[in-house]
Amino acid sequence: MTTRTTPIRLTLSTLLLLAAASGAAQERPAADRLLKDADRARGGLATGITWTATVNATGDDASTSRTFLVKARGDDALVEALAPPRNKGEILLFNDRTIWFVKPGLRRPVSISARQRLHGDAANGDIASTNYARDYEGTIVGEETVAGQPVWKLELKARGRNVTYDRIRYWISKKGHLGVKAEFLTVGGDVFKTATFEYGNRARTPAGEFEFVSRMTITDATGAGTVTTISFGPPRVETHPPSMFNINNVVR
Amino acid sequence: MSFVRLDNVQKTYRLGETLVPALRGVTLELHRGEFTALVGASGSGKSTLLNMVGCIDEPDAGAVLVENRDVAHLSDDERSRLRNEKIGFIFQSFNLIPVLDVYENVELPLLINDRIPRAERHDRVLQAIRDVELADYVRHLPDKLSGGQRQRVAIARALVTSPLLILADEPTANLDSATTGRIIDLMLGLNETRKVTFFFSTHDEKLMSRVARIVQISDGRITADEGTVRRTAEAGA
Amino acid sequence: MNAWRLAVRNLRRNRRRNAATLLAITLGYAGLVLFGGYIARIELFLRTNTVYLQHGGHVSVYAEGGLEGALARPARHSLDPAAQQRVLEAAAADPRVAFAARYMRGMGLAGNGCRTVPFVATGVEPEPFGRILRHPDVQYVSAEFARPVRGRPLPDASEVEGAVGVATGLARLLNKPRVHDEVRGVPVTLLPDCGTPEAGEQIAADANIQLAAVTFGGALSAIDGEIVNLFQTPSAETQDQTILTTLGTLQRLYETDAVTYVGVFLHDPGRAAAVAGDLAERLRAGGLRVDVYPFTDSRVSPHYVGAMGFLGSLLVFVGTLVTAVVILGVLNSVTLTVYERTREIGTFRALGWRRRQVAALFLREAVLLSLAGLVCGALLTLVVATAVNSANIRFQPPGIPGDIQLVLWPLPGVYATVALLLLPLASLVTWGVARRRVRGRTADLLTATAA
Repeated sequence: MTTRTTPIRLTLSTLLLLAAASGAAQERPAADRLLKDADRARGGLATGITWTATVNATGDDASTSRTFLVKARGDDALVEALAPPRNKGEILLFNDRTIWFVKPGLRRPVSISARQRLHGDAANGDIASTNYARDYEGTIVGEETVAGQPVWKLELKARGRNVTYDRIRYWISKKGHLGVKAEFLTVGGDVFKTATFEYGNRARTPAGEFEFVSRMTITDATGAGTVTTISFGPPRVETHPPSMFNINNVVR
Repeated sequence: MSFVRLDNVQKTYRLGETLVPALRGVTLELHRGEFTALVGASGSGKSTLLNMVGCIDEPDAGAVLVENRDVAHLSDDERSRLRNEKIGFIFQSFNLIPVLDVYENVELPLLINDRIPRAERHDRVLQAIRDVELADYVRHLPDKLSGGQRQRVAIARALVTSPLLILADEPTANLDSATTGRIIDLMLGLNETRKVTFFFSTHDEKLMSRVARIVQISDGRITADEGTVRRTAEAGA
Repeated sequence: MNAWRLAVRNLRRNRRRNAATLLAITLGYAGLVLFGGYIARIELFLRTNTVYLQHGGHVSVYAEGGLEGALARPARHSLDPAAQQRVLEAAAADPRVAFAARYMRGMGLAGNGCRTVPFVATGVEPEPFGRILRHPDVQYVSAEFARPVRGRPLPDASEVEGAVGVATGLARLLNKPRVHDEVRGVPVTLLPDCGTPEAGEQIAADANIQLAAVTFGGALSAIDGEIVNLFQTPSAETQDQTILTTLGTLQRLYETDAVTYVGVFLHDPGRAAAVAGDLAERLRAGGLRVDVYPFTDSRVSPHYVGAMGFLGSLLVFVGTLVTAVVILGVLNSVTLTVYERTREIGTFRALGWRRRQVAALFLREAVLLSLAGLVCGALLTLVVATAVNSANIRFQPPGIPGDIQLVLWPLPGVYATVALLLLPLASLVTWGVARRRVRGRTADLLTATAA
């Protein structure tokens, strides 16, 4: 089994690529080892992977639901809106830290760097796309139980400035090294958003099977109180050519 | 009947820490038509006594009565009106207003009297100027007049309200002898023709020789009152 | 002879001193009137920009919590069509209201195919916008900000789909120097090769941009925009981010029919607070949950309120200082005059003049001198204002991009106000000095030597 350890970054209210985690070690492991394993459980494959994701958001007296088809390869991803009909055909192309938004009828695609935060559900995308091992310095600060399973509690501090959140609190299961909960903090130390993860899917590769994320729930801790749930369909391992993720090809 | 009467008037001034008694119980009567000189050395109280008679100062004790009215019971406005209607002043330094001509200076006391119509005011001013023989100088400013002419203007100003009493403080002190003589003649003439009472302080021997009554004051006290003595002597002879 | 002629004669006695006092009053009056006029002009400029060109209105009606919360939570804090209708009806029923307009404010990203830059956009209704541009106050004090730097005003470009106006700073960041009318027929390069030198030329060749934003429902949205004009914002802070477009365009971007606020424009700006209060009461009585602000509220117009607060305190400080200097000059002059003429005062008193009659002599002199000073000051003001205004002196006020002309604007009200301040004060100090002197004993006054 070959699993690229470099994660995929996603944005907005769309997707999250997850991979099943390997089992967690029982003795106190190194923090960066934990992060890499947890990332791997949400990571991509070198050849490619495809799945559908449904994003349901509730808040401000309204609920929305959108469905996407996601094709990923390593760091790149092509996300195509399937529903509702109003958004059908819209595409988000992920390339390193840049996202291209392509809309039928729009003359040019719009590029959005990861640092350009949009309001509303855009912050969820930052959370979904975060590469913890690469972007954060982790320290194990304790052990707790979350959702009935023993976890390591870590404090993550941003390594550089090109990261959305300065600090994250992260709970990683001891068994399987899967990230089960995260709190994203403001500069002042207040909780801005909370995310929980479930891993009900399995991805099958020639090298073997591993757990993949099946649900991610993001809660707005501020006054808005918006709750976004991303449900992931079963992943399908397949080969995607690199040209699929070239903006010039997507636009044409 | 006396026009002005002072009853045991006392006045003390403060000069720094020192109290200076200017009048030490002066009793004096002035009658209509008198031409009286007030004589005394410097600091004897002459000016203070004139101020009391003219109601421009108030005694510390005693009473000043004008036409039998105690001026202490009058308000400042009432005293001002009394002076304006009944008393005229002639000053040693003339005290003319330099920016006003002869006519306007003479007119000054009448300007504040609303009861005199403008036409009458005009006539009275011209008459007063004629009385002092300055009809040819009506529009002259004071700095264009001689000392004697200025004093005449002052006399005309004092006369224009037809007062019952004219007070003069050393009226000839700043005049040469020839002019002094003419001023004295003028004052005497007015006293005789208009029956205006004159009461004035002076050192001038010439003036003293022509007055009917001389009141001597020394150290704030009346030491002699010669006119009265003469009349008393004549009455008793 | 009357007392006024006497006063005129007496003024000639100390010509040099009185001339100096006259000069002090003249300069003080002219200075205060010019400064007051300058501030009045600045106030009109700031108010015109705040109310009209920045589309704040004299009164603004938001959904409850909308002022603070509409950008972050637009779905919750915007006015839906029913609410808009009720607000417009309530405004139309008030005779103090000239007109009302609906506005949307929102944020997003503007892109040129290679680069995206954050924007803050205002969506305006074309017809009210046209009225604003033609408003006499706008034409008089802010014509240079009302006219676009390039291209046509938005109300005149209704046939262009997706018409937007872009602030010059933002246009520079997007490398869009040209407007729609200048590039008609030029094909749009769909995907410039961003890494190459030619990309800049390709981007600059057309007037097309993309606007992207998160809709009220939280989804990503984008539309095409066609730049029809480039404009200067009245504030330097907003030069790099401001977009002006039609309300319909912005509603299309955010996929909504709601608006952020309704701007209400009055005949008389002085009625803003009263109208705001009445409107709030009327709307809330009808069950509508709104927040209503006059433009004088610092929450909606922090720059205007802050600037006017500063200028107001400056006016009070400088005004007090200048007035004090002038009045002290009068006091000094009057004191010398009164004390020099002490014996003369005694003479008047001896002649039977009452205290207030004698004091009134000096008062008349002061009044005449002050009036002469005011007249000379008024003339000086006109001369200086004419000269300055003709010289077209330009300066850059803080917070304003570019420069504006220094205009001195002596207003009748300012003339009158300053005159009503100086004349009574001069009279008062004169009366005080003279009255005090005439209270002295007449005998002492007559024997006083000249000061």
